[in-house]
Amino acid sequence: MKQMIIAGAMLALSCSAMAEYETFVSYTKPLSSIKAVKKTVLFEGEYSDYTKQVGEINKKYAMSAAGGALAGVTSQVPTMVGNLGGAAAGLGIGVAAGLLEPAIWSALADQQFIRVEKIEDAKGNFTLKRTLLVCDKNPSLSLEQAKQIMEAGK
Amino acid sequence: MNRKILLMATIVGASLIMGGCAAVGTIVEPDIQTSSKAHYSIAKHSEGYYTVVARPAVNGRVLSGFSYQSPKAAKRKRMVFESLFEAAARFTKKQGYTHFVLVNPEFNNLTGFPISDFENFIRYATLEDRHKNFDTISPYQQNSLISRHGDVQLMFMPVDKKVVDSGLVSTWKVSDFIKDNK
Repeated sequence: MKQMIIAGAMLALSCSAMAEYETFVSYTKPLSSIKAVKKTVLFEGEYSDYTKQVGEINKKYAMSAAGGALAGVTSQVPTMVGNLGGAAAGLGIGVAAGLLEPAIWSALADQQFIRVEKIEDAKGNFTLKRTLLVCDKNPSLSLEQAKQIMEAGK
Repeated sequence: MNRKILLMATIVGASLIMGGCAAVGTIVEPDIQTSSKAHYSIAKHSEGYYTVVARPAVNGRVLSGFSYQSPKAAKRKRMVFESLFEAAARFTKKQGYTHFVLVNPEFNNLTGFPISDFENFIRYATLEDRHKNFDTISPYQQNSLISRHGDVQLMFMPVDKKVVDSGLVSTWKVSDFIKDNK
């Protein structure tokens, strides 16, 4: 019985160890343009959840800065741009709501996780470092495993 | 009688063509040539974005599309996408902008798609060609990057400096795709 339990655990471990994944790291502005003094993790989780929340996240953390370029702008913001938060209004991006349709993943679609970190300088200028992790769903990574991989930058 | 038939056929044909054009946007740039000597048209859509459409082709021969997963598909995708991005970049530059965003449903920078450099993009777009268990792109949804018939369409929008400087959105640099000064 003990041997069966150990074998089962080993199999489970080997499955997760075999999960194929790739990571993609990007910055919204070059990191070299920011003399970083502060780093804040804005989001860690499923990529599909992030795309739904990106507007509120941006509104909460990013709007007060941006060098005044976005200050005081108001406009009729199409739904798409609305996801970027009120301060993104007036950027001149007009895209119809129809393009909001998220990709319709099949039952076997890959898992996608994302980690978003705000890196800012003393003046409030910032860049968003985003690490996208795409993993084969069969086998798959847990959220905790995905977070560890993304944090390590692997 | 023959003239009447010919006239009717012309009217019907023109209607069909115009109807088809309306469905795919209005051609605003009939001929953009890339450094690989490929020629593309750029269509503008009522929602404000543009598309570059291409049939995947090598040396002038149209390929059967990317409906299969294979390393060869990955290589073909790189060649076609490189050319498409260059066409989008050249059009963006012609419009007086230095950056653009992608708005394909699978790669929408405006809703948080983080990638905005070609090497990472092609790596992402060819995941399922390089790893047989992956299924990243659902190829047959409407407005997909790769249509059911194997056409590849890049949906993009030029954006001004405010968007780039905001730090909120990943934007693509025109200068990454245009090496000459044209």
